[in-house]
Amino acid sequence: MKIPLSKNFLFLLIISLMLLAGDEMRLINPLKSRLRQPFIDTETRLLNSYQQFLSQVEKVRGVDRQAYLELEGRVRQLAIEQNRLSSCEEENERLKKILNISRLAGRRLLEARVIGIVGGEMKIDQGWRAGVKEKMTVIEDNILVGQVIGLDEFSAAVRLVTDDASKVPVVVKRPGGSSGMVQARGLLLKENGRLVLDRVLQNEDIQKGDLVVTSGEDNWLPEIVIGQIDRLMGTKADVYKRAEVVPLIDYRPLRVVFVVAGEEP
Amino acid sequence: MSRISIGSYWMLLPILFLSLLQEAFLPINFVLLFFIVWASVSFQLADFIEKASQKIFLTAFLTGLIQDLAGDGRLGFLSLIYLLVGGFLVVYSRRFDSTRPWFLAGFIFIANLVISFLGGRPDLSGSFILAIIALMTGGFLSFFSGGGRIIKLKI
Repeated sequence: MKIPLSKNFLFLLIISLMLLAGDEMRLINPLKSRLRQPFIDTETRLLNSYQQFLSQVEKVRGVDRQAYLELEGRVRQLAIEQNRLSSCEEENERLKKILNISRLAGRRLLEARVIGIVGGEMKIDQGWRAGVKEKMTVIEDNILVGQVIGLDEFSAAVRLVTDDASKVPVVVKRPGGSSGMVQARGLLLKENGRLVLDRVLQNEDIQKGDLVVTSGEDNWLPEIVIGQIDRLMGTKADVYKRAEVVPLIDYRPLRVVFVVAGEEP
Repeated sequence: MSRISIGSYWMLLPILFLSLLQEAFLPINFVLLFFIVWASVSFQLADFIEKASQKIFLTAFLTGLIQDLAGDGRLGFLSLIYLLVGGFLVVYSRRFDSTRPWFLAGFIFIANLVISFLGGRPDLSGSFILAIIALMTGGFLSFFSGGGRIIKLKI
């Protein structure tokens, strides 16, 4: 039988392969960036419209979005303050002074607009041209958003903490506790649509309301708040303690985030 | 290469729109679904196989290019994948009816799974949802074509 794939097919196949090779070798980056810019702008506008639509729907459903956001913001601020205070207590006077400024002091924060959020991945409008690198931490209001996992010249892909593939080494701290000591160590991951704190030793003490904070391992910045323990799971017979964690922020309505770049020059 | 009529490439507009939506917030690859359903139907309805297949290949290439530009992947990657998908459809459609619901569902399921796997994020649930939508679309097409196969003399 004659194979019906024509010369056109082979021609287009070769063009695709050439584009792929050109992109891999970064030969067509200037052209690609120029072509992508209108797409990025349109996607940002579409996402904004979608977020506005969602807030309108919530209004219709009787949820006072503004009041909710204000309360959420206050809870978030309180959680950050609690974490900062408990961290300070374990340090001596000299370190307290430094910690009181900010643990992010001296680091360059790159502001980035959110272009899209699909599943557990967020796309932002800053790429390697602006100094973004893979594995950089992304935050919003001192709360962890995710980590950069892919890049091009003008945009980057951020894996959110709530992504299925996300695994964050964390420590658990008790807000307002007698000291800023670490209650437990564990791994934060996604399981059946929920954030779950796993790998906590049975002799470690965790309870509802404890703060879950990055430990600083695996290229994550330390001491960035993620969420609070909502519910303990499993039994004492299990090898590890587990708990359900609620993030301190809703990632969907975010419009601006900050990429924590290297030290200030 | 035959002359290209702009009017016959209208389907690139919804593809552009869907690609933008997909990159902004839609978690499911509706572009793939739209392309495969469109390609299957247009091949079944075409009078001239060569002409129809050329149109499918060019649309596949442009669809991939649009999606590559709207997303953050390598330029040319999805063009290549969509061309292969189009190529398979053309080869299959010469012998069988590619608008059959079970074929559409299975083909879209596998195609989406392969694309998501090659993109580094295997998407089983998204593929399943797409397959269900494709199954319904195929049933809808069968219903409106009277449930019988379209018999045409392919030139």
